[in-house]
Amino acid sequence: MARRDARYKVVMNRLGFEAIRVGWAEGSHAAGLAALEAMRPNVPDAPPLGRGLVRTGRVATFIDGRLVAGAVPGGVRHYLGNGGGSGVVTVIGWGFPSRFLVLGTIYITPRDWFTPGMIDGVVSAGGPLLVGAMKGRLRRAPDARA
Amino acid sequence: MLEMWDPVGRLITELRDDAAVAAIVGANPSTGDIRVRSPKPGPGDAQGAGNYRAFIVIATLATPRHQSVPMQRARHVVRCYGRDNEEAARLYVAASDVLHHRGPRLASGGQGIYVTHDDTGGTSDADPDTQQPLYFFIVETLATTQVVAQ
Repeated sequence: MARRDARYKVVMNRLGFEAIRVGWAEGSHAAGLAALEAMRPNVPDAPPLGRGLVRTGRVATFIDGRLVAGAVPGGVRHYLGNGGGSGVVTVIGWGFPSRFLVLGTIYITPRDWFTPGMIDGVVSAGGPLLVGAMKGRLRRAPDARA
Repeated sequence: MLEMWDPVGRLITELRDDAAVAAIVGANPSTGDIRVRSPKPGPGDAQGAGNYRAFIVIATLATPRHQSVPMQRARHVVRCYGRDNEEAARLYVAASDVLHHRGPRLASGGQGIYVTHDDTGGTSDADPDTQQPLYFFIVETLATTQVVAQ
């Protein structure tokens, strides 16, 4: 008896897989940039602690530990190790002394500018940015059936 | 009726009432009170090297509200200071056990807390001014922004 599945052959468009990953990274990086700009108005810039801090914001995106977009200050790279492991990772950060300003010290009351910016940039705007980037990449991806 | 509130008071109470936390911050050294503070250390808590005291400081980071539902997802940083790194780690464990995955309860004003989580785990650090060892973590609280019916 002939096998029923002989009539159905699944052809996977493996060339599209990379388009999905790259599109995801593009959308994730765009969401990170949106979050960074949403944070910027709340970054303290008054001397001495905030002087120049507003210019130190960075976004970096990794695919499987490889930096593919943005810039990474050396300390952040060291902290991330291999860039966060497998998959797509986007990191948003601000330079010294943002850690002390955000989390506080014995003498400094915490002042969190990350959470509101993440809500605006990632939660609110992230979805459309991600979808748009992935659609664009998939549209341009070669079709294995061709 | 909508009533925005900050759950930090409830978190302070829960930490102070815990025996494991109180055993560290109430007795190392004993000063007559349970040293759980917000948003800054109390008088005399912060000391120089050789005279460190164990204490906890909780501070509000953000209390973002849901756009359409009367809820908030508040975030607080909890800094656990110890006389040495090991004590700071024990204090972090005790504090995290109090707050992590703790289920529904009511605040004293009648507002509801659905759940709290230790969202980051402990991070070892040292205060930049006194070099005192500490562990910090961030607590996420899912709570109402109105008084709930009992």
